[in-house]
Amino acid sequence: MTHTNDVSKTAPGIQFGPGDFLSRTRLVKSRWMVRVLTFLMVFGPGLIVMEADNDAGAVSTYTQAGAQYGLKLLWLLLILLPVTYFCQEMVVRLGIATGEGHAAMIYKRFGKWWGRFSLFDLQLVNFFTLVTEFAGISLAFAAMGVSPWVSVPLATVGLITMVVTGSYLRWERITIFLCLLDLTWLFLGWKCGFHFGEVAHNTLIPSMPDGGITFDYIFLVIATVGTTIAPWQLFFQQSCVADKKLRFKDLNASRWDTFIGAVFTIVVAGGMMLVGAILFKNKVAYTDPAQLATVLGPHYGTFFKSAILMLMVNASVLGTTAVSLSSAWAWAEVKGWDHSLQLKFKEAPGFYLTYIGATMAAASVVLIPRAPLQVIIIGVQVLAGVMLPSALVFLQILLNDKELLGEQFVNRPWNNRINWVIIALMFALSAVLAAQVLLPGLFPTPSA
Amino acid sequence: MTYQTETIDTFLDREPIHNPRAPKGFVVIHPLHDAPEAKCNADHLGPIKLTPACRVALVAVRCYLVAIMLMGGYRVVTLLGALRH
Repeated sequence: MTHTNDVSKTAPGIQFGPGDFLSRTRLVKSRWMVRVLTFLMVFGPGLIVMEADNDAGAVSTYTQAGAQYGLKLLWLLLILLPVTYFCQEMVVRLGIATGEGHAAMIYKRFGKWWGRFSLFDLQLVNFFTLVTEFAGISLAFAAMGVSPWVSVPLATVGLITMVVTGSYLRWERITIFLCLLDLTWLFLGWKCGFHFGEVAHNTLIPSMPDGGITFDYIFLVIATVGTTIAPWQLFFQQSCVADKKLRFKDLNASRWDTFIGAVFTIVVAGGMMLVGAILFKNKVAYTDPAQLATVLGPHYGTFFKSAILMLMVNASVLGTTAVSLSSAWAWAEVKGWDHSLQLKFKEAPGFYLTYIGATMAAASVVLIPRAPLQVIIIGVQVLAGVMLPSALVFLQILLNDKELLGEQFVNRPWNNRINWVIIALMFALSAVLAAQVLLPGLFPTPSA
Repeated sequence: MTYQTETIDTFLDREPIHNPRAPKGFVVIHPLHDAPEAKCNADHLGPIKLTPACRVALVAVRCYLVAIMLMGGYRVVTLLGALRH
């Protein structure tokens, strides 16, 4: 059954646009097929922004959560699903309505001071995040016997090549493919042998960990929340939506893209927790994802070990391309440079050089012997804690800007009520996390 | 909810031709290949007009940032003290 026709064959004379099999202009016979094709053409930014957030830091946090508390934190992922969706849906609306990125909107509507604050804070936290992504690449390849002097430069070249081709669609398709590879976490989680009923119970019904609620537990909950919602995501998706030139009529398809991305990323995160939970089940101490792979290898086979390590590399690559792009888009928007993945290098040199510079600088830091990676990880936590609540407040205010958006795109009252609750929670959690890092004496010493 | 529902005729910007053999249906265009549309433009609007609730939110952001800076400063002073010892 086919309802689609190539316009060039069925309607000669139509100026059908450029594009390949998946993106060319088409004539369809039913509204149902219009919806399906429109969704497939719009699909991408939502999945990418959500799954790229399952980066090296997320792999570490989710597997650690599983290793320390078994399946007892699965319920948290279910709660985070609507939270991530509501935050990202707002940037989709703003991006489609204005056709501009988040950094540009903050500059234009809140003035230079808040604009510079947001931009520099974003660049700094993104740079630190990039360093952790390359540290993930280095760590995973080192566990496979590949020197960082080989793996990190190769990854850098690959990351630059996939972006500077002058084709948004090429970059998007490569990145979607990498996102789909993360489904392997589900296979690994299934191989761990947990009973489905046990997993479903812990996902749907919150339960206390065996040792009760400790500060360790609270901080891991906060770290999980912080890992699932990051400031760069807001900037990335709005710029991506603008770069893809999504139209007003694409809003609903784009919302579905974002929702599917949110479900996808939460399910994959659950897979990571299941894999980590094997250590909890067997009472083995957790160090990092590479150690997890090494410990599980002899019991579950070489494929299991290699898959965890390669998935860690994949997570880092996804994180790196998305975070670097959010930096490059934001910087170029504010500077007024041309900034689109559709442009060739010579047409948008400032945009591409920012991407290349951010990627290469972060890779270089990882190659420095005895680089202070622990300080950088702490820096990411503190700066993200500073950045996220303020970025959400700006977003919420912009989505109430009737002068700019008119009645069609502004938040509805129920939107506002949900979003203010999310923002208040983010404020509280970010403040506690920052206080834990900056004033460790305030809190009891974590138990061993 | 609106979708890409141009007919062949609207796509070609022409009056409908009543030809029974002409293809009937809807044209779906990829966003990257579609004509640009007029977006909500902030260039001429200037700074945002804040409602009381928005002002409260921005004050909260400022207080939050000051608190974080104070914590950061305290941490730096503490570390410096530790270094002297």
